[in-house]
Amino acid sequence: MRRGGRICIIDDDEAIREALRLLLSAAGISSHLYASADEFLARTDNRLFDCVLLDIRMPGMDGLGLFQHLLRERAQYPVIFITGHGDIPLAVGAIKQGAFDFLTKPFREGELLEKVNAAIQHFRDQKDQRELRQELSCRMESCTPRERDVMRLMVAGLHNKDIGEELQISPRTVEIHRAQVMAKMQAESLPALVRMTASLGIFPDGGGDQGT
Amino acid sequence: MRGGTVIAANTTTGILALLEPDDSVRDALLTLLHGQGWVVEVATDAKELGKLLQAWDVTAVISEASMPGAAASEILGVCSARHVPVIFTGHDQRVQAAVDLVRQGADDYLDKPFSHQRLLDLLNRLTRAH
Repeated sequence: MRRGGRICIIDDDEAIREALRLLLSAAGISSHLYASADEFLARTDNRLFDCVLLDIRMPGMDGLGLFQHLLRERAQYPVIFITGHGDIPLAVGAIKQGAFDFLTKPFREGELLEKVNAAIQHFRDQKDQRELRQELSCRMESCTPRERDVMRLMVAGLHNKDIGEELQISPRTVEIHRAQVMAKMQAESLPALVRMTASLGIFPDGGGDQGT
Repeated sequence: MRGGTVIAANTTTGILALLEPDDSVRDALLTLLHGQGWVVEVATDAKELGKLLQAWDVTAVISEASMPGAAASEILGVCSARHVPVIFTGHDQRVQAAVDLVRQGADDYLDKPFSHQRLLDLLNRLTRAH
């Protein structure tokens, strides 16, 4: 697992902010500190964080308010709420809205690091997947409409002869298109191509005979 | 085809499975739910619950998180396997337990004592989705 990460800590209690910063920096994780939701919103324009540690109860806009604001902005990073004892309805509500996890005060150092690392990993996995999908759609874009027709039928498991009949082109032409598809998609095998189209969510019905 | 059709759909709200170790809490919930037209089947552990879910078209499971005979994760597993939503109830004020169960797929977690209306609202929502 990759080390490091950029964490954002938003808590109105300075002692807690500092304690969190120290614990995280000892584990090689750098953090940015904010004393309130408003300060966070005012001071950060480029919010590239791997994880946000957010106190649920703060004066001014509270943690839940900021979380909802971030949801509306479609912020992608995982949020771990810091909460006191017994805020169960609040905690459950936030998790159902997509918060990553909760940290209940008082917490152990190991617990903090475990959750933050899980959040960082989760964020990176999601980012990798998004980038992979983006890259795959670029490759997809580079194919001609006819190549995409051939790809759809390849993914559906048709042989060159059948693809040719379906598209009313010669098997030889299919072969050329097929090679182009594999090259443009950078697929080393048919199963790899099938996985790529599946992760893009295209051809979900496995082809079929529309498009003739 | 599961057995829920034995009971005519227009006479009942639906079928629930309930796991609650405390007799008085269970009786109170049964009275509340029967009053709303629910048929309620009672189970005491994950195995019994599994049989119930196999036999009946259960709309939702309501389970105490710390049943003496079954870990909450076990109950959650049985429900997920049958795609039946589960609402946990608990009384020990542990945020982490509630958060973990909801993250793992529980539909909700009600901290005891909870308002009956809250439970009924949840069930209404689940009925519409059922």
